[in-house]
Amino acid sequence: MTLTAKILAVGILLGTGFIGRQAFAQNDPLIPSASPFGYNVGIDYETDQDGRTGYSVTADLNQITQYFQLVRTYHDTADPNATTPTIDPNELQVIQYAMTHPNFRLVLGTYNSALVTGTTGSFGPGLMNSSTYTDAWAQMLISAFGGSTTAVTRSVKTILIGNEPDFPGTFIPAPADPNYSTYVGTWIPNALTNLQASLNKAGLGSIPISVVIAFSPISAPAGDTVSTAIPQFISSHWNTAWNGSQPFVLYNQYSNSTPPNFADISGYLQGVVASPNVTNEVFPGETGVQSPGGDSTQEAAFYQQMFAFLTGELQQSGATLPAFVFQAFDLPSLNQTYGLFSQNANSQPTGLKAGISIPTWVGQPAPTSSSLLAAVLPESRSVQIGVPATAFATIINNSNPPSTATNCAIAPNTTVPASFVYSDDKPRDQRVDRHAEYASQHPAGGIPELCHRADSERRVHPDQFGVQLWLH
Amino acid sequence: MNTLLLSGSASPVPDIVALAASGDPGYVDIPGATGTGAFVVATVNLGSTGQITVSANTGAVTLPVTTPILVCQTSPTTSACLTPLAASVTTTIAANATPTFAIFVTGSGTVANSPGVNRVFVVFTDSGGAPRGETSVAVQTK
Repeated sequence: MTLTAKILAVGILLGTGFIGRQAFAQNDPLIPSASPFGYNVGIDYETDQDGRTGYSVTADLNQITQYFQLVRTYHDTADPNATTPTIDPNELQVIQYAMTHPNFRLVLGTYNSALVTGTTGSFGPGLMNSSTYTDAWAQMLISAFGGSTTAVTRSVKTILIGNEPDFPGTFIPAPADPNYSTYVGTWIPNALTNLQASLNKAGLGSIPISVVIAFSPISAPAGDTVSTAIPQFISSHWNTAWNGSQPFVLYNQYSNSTPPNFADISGYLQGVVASPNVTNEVFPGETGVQSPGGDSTQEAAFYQQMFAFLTGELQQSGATLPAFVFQAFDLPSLNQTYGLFSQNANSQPTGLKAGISIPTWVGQPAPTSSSLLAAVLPESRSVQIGVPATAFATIINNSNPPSTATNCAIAPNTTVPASFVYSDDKPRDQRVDRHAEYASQHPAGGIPELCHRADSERRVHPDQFGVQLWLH
Repeated sequence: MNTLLLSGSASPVPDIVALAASGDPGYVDIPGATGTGAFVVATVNLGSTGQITVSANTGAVTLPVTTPILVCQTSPTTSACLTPLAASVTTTIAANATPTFAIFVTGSGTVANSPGVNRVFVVFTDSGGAPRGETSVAVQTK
């Protein structure tokens, strides 16, 4: 008689009703297989004054963090043209806030001068075209976090070089500019490559680096190659340590309808995802609506649609399209009224604008992909009935937020007349040497509770255990 | 890989515990769309002596690789093939013997890096066709 059976190495029941991303990602193209941010939705925050006389970064962040814990900023250095980087003082306040608020997560942007300097007619390579500069930039960031690389990596979830480098203007080359091909083919790639190398050297190699694109392969103006070539460069040079090896690029997009609606945004993003020229995950870096004349009716309606869409994703999958809303506050000197929050005459926050509501899940940590990882060795055993076969399994509980996984075990995938005895394993000697103890705790057919939880610092603790299987 | 293939018999049977090794740990890399990549497999028979046939496949996934995947038994000291490259190698493996094998994978297109899906399995079956051992590596074009 010969018996053959497939045994799943790890049958896992999660104790908190956690639902992973991966399963739903197959059905919803907007939900990526991984996200680096730790939260489903973030908010764009302009740290410059821009007409907000009397504003306070701390007061702003105190308001923002009542609803959001993920913030994207735009300005890295005090002088965007200086060849020796010094941290922007307002950005430094954000960083100091992050260091005292452990749940706060930062997506840190740079000026476009990192990619290209000069103006129309006199463009030159960006500051990050120099590895000396990017080395100094990495040290600048570490210094801003009090000299702690751990503090940096805990708070900074992504670095975005520039904003909309495909949107031509005084400071961004247009396709007709004589430097355009160099800009696309050399300066931007050099900036991405140099910063990656410098972060690695500085111990910050786990922080993903990407860009924010204004257009895309489905909306690029004639001659624009940045919006296609740079995401492809990012994908082909992606560090496998970043975001579960999944490259991502942020795309800014606004509704063109009257009144604005979020279906424009979701439809556009689905089109970008489906483009054969796009090999990266697609995250919206900015989306929002203005409230002209102080009337936030349309803005509130837009966000109601957006959060209804995202809540639907969350209810089905436990995750959403990672998105950033634009933006926290109105900017009077720029005539921008995109703010979600109201402010008084002294530019102090006074709560959400009329009609706008933010779901509570926005401020709660999002689960990540690949929350549980398992492997078994050897892949096969073949024994005489009554003689035990031993195999070893390793499980890593990588859930975020930390979530306890229970009942982790080798379990039959097909009907098999076998009993199982478990033991936690000492990796060095690979012996199932406590099976009697475990057998008493877990009678034949029972399963042990061996899975640990990831702690708040996202360290993972592999569980290793052995199992003896008796066919009978 | 989190699946254990378990087989049993009323009488003593071979129990081939196999471990794959390659230049890119965990992977067999195919250089270019039509190149050939190779990896080796070390084994130990923890069961009884028996005749074993060694072959390789891509499991339930159809990949752009030439089939059959070719294998040979190798010298444990020099890694040189001791048998001609063929779709399978049949040999008698004594109890506690440690024969080694090489597997050659030739591409017919680009194999994406998807280590949980795109894999090459090396299977060891007895004279009755029952599985007595298995190991695998991920495969990718690189």
